[in-house]
Amino acid sequence: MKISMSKTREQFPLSFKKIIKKTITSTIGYIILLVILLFISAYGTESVGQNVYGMHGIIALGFVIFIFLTILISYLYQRWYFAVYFYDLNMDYIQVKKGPITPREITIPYERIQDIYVDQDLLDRIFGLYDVHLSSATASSGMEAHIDGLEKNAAEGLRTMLLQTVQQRISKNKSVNVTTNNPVL
Amino acid sequence: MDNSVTEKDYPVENLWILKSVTGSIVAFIIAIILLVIFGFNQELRQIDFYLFIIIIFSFFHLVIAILRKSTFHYSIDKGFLTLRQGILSKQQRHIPYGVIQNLFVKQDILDRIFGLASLTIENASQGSSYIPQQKMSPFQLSMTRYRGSQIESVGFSGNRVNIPGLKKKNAKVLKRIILQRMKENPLEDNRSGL
Repeated sequence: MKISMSKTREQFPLSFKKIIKKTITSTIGYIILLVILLFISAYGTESVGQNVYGMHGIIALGFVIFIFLTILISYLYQRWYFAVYFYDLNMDYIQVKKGPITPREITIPYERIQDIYVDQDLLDRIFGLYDVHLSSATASSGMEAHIDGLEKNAAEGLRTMLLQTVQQRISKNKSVNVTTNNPVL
Repeated sequence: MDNSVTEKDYPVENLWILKSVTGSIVAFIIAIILLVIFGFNQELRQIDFYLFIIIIFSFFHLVIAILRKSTFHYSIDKGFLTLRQGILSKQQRHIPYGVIQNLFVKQDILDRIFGLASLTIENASQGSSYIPQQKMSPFQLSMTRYRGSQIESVGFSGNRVNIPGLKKKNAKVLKRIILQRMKENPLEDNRSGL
């Protein structure tokens, strides 16, 4: 697995637990559905009668294999996703790129950042992961520009660094503006 | 105006036309095949009718895609990003570099196959034609559903400008040029929410 590294990702690495977490979130729906189907089919074969005894075991085995395959494929995909996940804080802007098959890349200048927040969902709590969200004034940037699956230290470090850079940027621009706008002062 | 970058430098590739009508082309081919199989059978007149509709529709789709591409112009001028579009009703838009919020470079699955990429530029305005936010239904599991349903056409609407069908290399260069312009032309009272 070749991980696309950037300076920022070296400094604030993604946790490998993210792969497991994402595998669970992406397959849990299917698994529940399959288990329900399994029960229904068990009930169905039972009620048909005694001449289909063997059937039940075969169906159950099929379901188990199917669930296993779903998890395996999902795991491999998430590993790939994890490997190509790219985020970098440049001199002037933040770049987040994800998606192995259909890549999406967003670039936001520091000056345009409207808010930064860190959150955890239920599974994040269990795994001890944090998501750092940042967005500009557009709705789609909020959806795209989040860096999720960081350990506590990395998340806090990243947040601090972002806040610092943004603040520096704004104050720098302000001082420049003061001198240009009000030459008397 | 000497150093302005226009669509002549980084054009929307002709492949984009092909890409945007791929669905229609597939429908067209299927319709033709079905027509060849069933077409001359007198009993199936109604199917013929639908097939003809499909063929006409996909043909129009192609024509519109060609027109849309040929009437879309962008130019990265000194102070503004100037855009022109419209087949019958023409629209022009000028975006100062200072108000651009973020840039996207995206590739969907067909883009990957054709080696294309689309560049999306967003600002915070709602544009001339306000598109209400799509409602999130409680049954939607994640944001990915919404992301997938975003329209991917040429030109501008709402707060986004979409330049699709660029070569991947060109999309990157264009992104860099615009970022450079944004850096050179900051807003006067630069305020972030923080």
